[in-house]
Amino acid sequence: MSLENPIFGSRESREEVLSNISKSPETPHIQSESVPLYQGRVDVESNRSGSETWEPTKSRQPIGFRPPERPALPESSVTEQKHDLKLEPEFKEPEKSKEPPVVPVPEKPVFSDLEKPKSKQTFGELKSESLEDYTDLVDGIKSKVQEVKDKASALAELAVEKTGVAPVYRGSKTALEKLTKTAFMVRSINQYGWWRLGKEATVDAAKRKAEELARKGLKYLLDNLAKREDILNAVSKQLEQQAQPLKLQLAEIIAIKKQLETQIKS
Amino acid sequence: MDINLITETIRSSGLVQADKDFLMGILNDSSKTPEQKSTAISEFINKKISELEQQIGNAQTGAVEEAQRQLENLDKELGESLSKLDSEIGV
Repeated sequence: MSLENPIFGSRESREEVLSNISKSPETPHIQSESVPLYQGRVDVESNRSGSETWEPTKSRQPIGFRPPERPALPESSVTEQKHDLKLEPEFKEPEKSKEPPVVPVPEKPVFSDLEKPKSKQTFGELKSESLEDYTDLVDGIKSKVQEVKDKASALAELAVEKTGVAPVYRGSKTALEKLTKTAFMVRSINQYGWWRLGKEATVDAAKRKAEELARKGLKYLLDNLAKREDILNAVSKQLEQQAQPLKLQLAEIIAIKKQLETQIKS
Repeated sequence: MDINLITETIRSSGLVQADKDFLMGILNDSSKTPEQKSTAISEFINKKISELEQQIGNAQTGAVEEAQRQLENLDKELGESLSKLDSEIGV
């Protein structure tokens, strides 16, 4: 191929380049022009995990992506394409020294067998598997979430009952909003921990992380709700101490008023 | 109007001494007719009822405002705690 003809030059230049290619005895002849220029795919999982040891994932298919079907090539073309692979410069072993060869120590794989996803699994399958593995955990979280909701609801009623002022409910409502956020977060870790936790994203690691965060989040919420309950009880006690004598005085003076009104009329 | 009976009612009541003295002053005011005495006593007692209701309301409002302040602090505390969890997973 002549360097005088740039690849992205004029149409004539490109045709000339193509004609030169077809004339070359070492270049295979490709019949169809409809073969996509790019047949590879980006391994999102490997990239997102930050793994430096990228591995081709030919056996896995990306979600929602169906690669275009290749047109059937004649057998001769296939053979030639296979031959084309040999166009890569062959690796030449350095001249062997006279010293005995050193047996190379295999590098420790980034993923163990347990951590490495099975090649046949798609992300969808992984997600389903993860959810299945987390059934007990999810049920436990749901139970805790319901417990917190009940607690917050009871506190809201207590707030109105004890203080008689509706705005205090806002505190419990905010707690519920935070709870929803935490529940979503836990669910998110549960489903996508594998992706978000990078190299540590084994099923066990994701489960441990989800459990840890769920435990922490629920502890924060339950402790916070307990403190709210303490505050409302303290307010109730304070109100009782301050208002009760006044209420007694009020009741008595109303009774006196009625008695005097009766006596004055008689 | 039986002054003696009313006087006994006021003396035996749970009112503070100052209020008792004020009411007794009305009863013993010879310049007032029985109707004027009755009106003055009713006005005084109604005023006392209104004041007590106001005091009860103030006590309630103060306690609730303090509770509200503490609950808002808890909101903030909880938000900070959950933000830490968010940062742990890079959400």
